[in-house]
Amino acid sequence: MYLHTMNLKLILMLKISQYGVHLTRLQFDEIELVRQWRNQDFVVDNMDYKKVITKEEQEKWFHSINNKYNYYFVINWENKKIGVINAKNYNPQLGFGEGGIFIGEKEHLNSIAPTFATLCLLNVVFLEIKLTNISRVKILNSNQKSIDYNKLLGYKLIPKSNDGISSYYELTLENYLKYGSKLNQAAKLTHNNNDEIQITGRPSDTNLEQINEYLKNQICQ
Amino acid sequence: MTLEAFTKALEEEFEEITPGTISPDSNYREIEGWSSMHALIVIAFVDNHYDIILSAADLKQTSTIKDLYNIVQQRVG
Repeated sequence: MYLHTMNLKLILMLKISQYGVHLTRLQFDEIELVRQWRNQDFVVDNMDYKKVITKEEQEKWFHSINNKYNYYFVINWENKKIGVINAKNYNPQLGFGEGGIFIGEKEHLNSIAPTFATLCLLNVVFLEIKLTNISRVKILNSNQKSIDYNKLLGYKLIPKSNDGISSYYELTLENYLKYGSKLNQAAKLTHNNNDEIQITGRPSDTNLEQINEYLKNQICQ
Repeated sequence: MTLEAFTKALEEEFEEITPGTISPDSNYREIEGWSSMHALIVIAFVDNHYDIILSAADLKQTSTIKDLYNIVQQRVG
């Protein structure tokens, strides 16, 4: 019975795959793992919110983001859960308010997996389902590595967004096509030029209508 | 393309690097802010300029820009 339930959940859950990375929509039974990752010093160091997150806070947070305006995915790489990537605060006019990623398994911090996960999600948002023309990220001013990483993707500093602690950076579709195409080209080369994006799952009230339409078309094909 | 031109062109691909920072003997993994994103840029750069596909193993066995250039020259030759 348990196995049956688990399989059903896997079929229903929104899943994005490309370049060997599998992004699976965050489930309630994974939030404790995510909380433990998030409370590690090397993760907290790069976060705006520095306090230790309790189980109760984590549950409350999950219920606030488990909806069609927020997409939190667990990054699965080489059959292991290694971190979280998200696009949150969707607004029909402005697109997603903010994107983010953190790696909870330290040995994967400098691996290729975070880059593939980032490309995978941006490809869905900008190119495959075309949910928005703009992506934003908020980065601590002290996190130079993340600033450099995002600039290589084409993110540009939003003028006057610096509050003294962090700043917002914006990626337009135009810049993603310019910068991201090289990165996608190389990612494909490392996968024998044969790694199309795959988006699976059942339509759900926790998905935007555009996503449900896409999934319905996939099911029909 | 000479080694010097290869170095300069690659440096231009890494947009956030101050021009003149890297030389043929630079260990490219020690470039400030080096990440896997840079590795993908190297792979795309070599593919675009030489139609050669570098593998992760190729990158692993190189340290300097000169090492990269030599691998490319061997494949071209």
